[in-house]
Amino acid sequence: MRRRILVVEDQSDNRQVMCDMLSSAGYDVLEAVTGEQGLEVAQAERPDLILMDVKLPGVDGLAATRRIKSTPSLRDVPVIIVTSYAASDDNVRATEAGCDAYVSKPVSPRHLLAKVREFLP
Amino acid sequence: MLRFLSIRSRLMFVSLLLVVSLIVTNLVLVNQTRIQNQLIREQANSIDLIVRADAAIQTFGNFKYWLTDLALGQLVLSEQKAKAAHDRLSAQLSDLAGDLPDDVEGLSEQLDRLQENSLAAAAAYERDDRLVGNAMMARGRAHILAIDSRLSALVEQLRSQARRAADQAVPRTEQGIWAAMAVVVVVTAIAIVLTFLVIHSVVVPLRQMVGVIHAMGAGRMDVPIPEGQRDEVGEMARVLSLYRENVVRREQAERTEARLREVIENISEGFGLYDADDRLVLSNRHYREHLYEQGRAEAAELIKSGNRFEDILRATVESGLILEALDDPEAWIEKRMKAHREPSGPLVQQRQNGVWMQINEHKTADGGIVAIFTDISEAKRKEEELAEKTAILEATLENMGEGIAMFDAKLEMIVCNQVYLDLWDYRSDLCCSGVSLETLYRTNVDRGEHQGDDPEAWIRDQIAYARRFEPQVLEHTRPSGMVIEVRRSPLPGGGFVATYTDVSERTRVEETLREAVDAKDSALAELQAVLDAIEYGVLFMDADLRVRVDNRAYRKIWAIPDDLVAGKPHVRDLIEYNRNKGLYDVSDDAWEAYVDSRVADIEQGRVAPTEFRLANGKVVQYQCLALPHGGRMLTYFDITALKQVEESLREANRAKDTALSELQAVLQTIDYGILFMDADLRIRMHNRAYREIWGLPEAFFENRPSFREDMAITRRTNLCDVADEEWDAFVDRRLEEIKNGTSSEGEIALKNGRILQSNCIALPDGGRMLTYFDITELKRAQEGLIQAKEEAEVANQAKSQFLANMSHELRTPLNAIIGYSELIAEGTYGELPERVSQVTGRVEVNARHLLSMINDVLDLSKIEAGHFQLSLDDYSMKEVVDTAVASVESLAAEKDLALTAKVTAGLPIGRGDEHRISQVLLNLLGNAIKFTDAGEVSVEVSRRNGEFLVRVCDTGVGISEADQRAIFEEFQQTDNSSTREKGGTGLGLAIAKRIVELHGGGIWVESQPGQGAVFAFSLPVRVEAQRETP
Repeated sequence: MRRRILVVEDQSDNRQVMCDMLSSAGYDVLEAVTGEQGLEVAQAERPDLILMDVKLPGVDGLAATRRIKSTPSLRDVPVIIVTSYAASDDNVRATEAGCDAYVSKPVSPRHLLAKVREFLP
Repeated sequence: MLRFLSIRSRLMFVSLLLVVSLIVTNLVLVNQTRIQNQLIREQANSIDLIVRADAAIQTFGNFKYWLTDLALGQLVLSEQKAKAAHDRLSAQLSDLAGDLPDDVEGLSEQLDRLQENSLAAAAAYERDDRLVGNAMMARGRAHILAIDSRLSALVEQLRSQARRAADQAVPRTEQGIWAAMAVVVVVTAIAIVLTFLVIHSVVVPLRQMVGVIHAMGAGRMDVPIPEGQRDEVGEMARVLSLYRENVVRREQAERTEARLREVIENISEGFGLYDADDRLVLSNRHYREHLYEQGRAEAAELIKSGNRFEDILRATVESGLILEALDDPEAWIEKRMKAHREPSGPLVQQRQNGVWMQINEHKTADGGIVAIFTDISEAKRKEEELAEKTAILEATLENMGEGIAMFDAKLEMIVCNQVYLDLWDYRSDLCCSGVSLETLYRTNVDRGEHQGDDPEAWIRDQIAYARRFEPQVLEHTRPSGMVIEVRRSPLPGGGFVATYTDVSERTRVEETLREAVDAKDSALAELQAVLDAIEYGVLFMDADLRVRVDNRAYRKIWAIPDDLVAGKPHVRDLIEYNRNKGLYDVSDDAWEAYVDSRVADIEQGRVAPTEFRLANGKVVQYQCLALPHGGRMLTYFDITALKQVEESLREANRAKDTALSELQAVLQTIDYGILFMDADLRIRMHNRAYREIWGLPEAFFENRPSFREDMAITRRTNLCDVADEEWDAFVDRRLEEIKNGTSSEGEIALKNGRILQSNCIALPDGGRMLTYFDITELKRAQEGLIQAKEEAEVANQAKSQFLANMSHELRTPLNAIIGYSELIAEGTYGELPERVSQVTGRVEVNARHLLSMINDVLDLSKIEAGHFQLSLDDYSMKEVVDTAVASVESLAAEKDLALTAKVTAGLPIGRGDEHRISQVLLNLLGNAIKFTDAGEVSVEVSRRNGEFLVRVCDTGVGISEADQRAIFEEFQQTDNSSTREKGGTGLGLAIAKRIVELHGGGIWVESQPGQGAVFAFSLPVRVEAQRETP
């Protein structure tokens, strides 16, 4: 059975790149544009892994991650946060939010895939 | 204990012991036998009693029979027989009565009754009175039964007694036998043990003694002899010890004698020993040599042990050795023999060979004679010399005009002469050799020649003084007024020789002279003291112009040594001396004339005060005066210091005047308001600026106005922001502050909008200086500047924030571009034509380039905005370098550049932001590769002064000195053309610099254009905290 990955990203091109990359690598991809939407999809679909952008309109990636990690049914789903290069303490804050890993933008497809495969071999 | 008994006693003791033990055992055995005897006898007794009792029973049986027979037969025979039996029985019973009296008595009584009854029965039967007879018989039978039972009871009793006795006797006997045996065994054992001990105590020491005797017989004298006991063996041990001591002592004596012989042989004197028969026993080489001359064999032949003295003597005389025997040998020999037989003192002989021989002979205890020959030639010669010298000395002593006495180390007189005795009035019998100095002093005291209080102390002092044995001169005044001068000289071995001279006359003359001289001397000394005290150099000369008197100041001024003036030099000599010291500034040619004129001046006698300027810089005021007796007095006064003070005073005045006029000019020119006041706060001086600041007319200052007046005008001009009612208090406070010097620097805002900086400074003379500086413009400029700076900072902050935001916004689309490009290139969206694929590759490369430029801008803006955070962690410098080199390897390979890394082994683990350090190194490596067209790029990492030192060296175009300063600034590159050519924002180095500085390190470049460049940076090994942004 194909693994399902939820990509939460507001910027459509970036979301598209990630989705294309993941589906070409053989994953099923779920998409969400905002933090709230990401949470809803996650609860409804319970994906195998979530890629979460930090900077989202409304509930940002960090808050969304915190909520996912405090939801019992989703607690075990790995979350990879895609941090922005703009603030150097993003990494720290991402770890504090309870993510399982983080990658920095610009996200190289190869790099991201390698990270994903650590959780979904 | 045995040791204290003699062996005989011990043996006797053993014998005695054996005899006693024998007796004791015998006695014990005898006693035992006796006890046995007694027991046997008792047994026999018992048996005898039983037998007798049995016999009595038998007899009673007979008696019964006969009695019955009598009663029945009435026969006389029966009666007789019965009677006989009764008698016998009575006898037997009485026999038993001794042992068993009670039983026997009862039996006898019964028996008598029986007999009575039996006889009565017989008589009745005889009368045929049968009735009575039967009754009597019955009674008789009763008695028989009683007697029978009694008898058998008796026997039974005896038997049981005998058995009991036998039963008791057996154990007693056994016991006795055992006791006897034990006694015998114990006594025998004691006897044996004691015998053994005694024999042992004798045999063991005897055996030891035998061993010792054997050892000593074999010559081992050091064998230990057992401790002497008080017995015979001890006696033997003592005898042996004595024997051994004797032997040892004899050996020692032999050794001593041998040594003695050797000593005698080698002593320097001749030694001969003759026995009681006057035969030579012992002699040494010197003795033999002293008795004959070398080569006189016949004499030598005789001087041997065993020969008689007279024969030896005669041979010696005949050899002609002894001078005094030459005239009449026989008479001399006789005399010599006499002296030899009865030695009475040393003999002195002169020998033919010029040797003097002293012969000492002594009788020995055994009647022999010891002769000692001593060669006293040397002593004889010295004696003669001494006698000669003594004679000369004595003659000299006696003929001297002075008294002389010599004392030895014990201060006893050796010799004195007649003059000595005369001088001191000593009797010659009192004062002779051997008399002590103390006795002589005591004589003087007794004669009353000592007037002091404590004569004993005086004598002690004198003796102690004399005992120092050093050259001494003392005087003694005798009661007659005679003065004796005593001169003592120490003698080499202690003691002294003293001369005594009557110096009475001389003393008197000297006394008079001394008084006269004293008077003159004190006058002169006072004069000299006065002269020495004054600072004027004074020189008195006699008419010949030779120095008579001078003083300290003179010698000091001219630096003339004491010994030069002490020699009374001529004035020419002094001038000459000073010339040699280079004091005169006179040429050699002119010298003669100069001296002549100086001397002429002095001779003329009057030189008015003149100043000499000496070559050493001293200035001397000189004057000459003629003295009444033709002498001259020269005076000199060192006025150098005076001159110098004058000069410096003039100089100071000039300088002060200049300074004042300059100060005045400055004061009037500057815009600094200044007011000088005296201690009473009256205005001494002011300047233009002051007037202008406070709006005061120049005329106001003409008559030294007070500062209070000054302030009164200020009130009128209404410059100070003080209310009218507070004005007086304000003025008082201001004056008080200035007076106390408590007014410090401060700012005053005037009503006309001017701002003054004021200060009050206390002057050394008690005055005050007030300064006012108009800082209005300064203040305004400062405020403007502060505002501008704040605005600039805000603008800068905004710029940085804007840049940060912009960069982020720019990155978002770029992210998509790069992502798409990569996916396209990887064929995610399907196969591409070759051309499209190439173009897509260029798109990605350009996008990445753009991204890196944006990253640079972003980094810099973060640094500027203070948002740049180092993420400090441990890192390995080697790994950083290896990773960086690996990631630029392909770049270097593209340009055919050699790329090498050299990392010092054993670098410690560093702490810092590994990612940022990598960024710096990558930047430097990227630049080096970018600007190098051929050759190599290398990285070297070492450790220096606790820091990592990283050097990136290339062989590229190099950088000019001017550019070197600029390249670390933002937006700077070596030249624009290269930027265009090589690409880049020009921010890399600026960022690298900031990163290194945030780590507390430094970055620099060493380069010359065309010769490659070395970019180096240093990093503290352990960075624990980020540095503040500079």
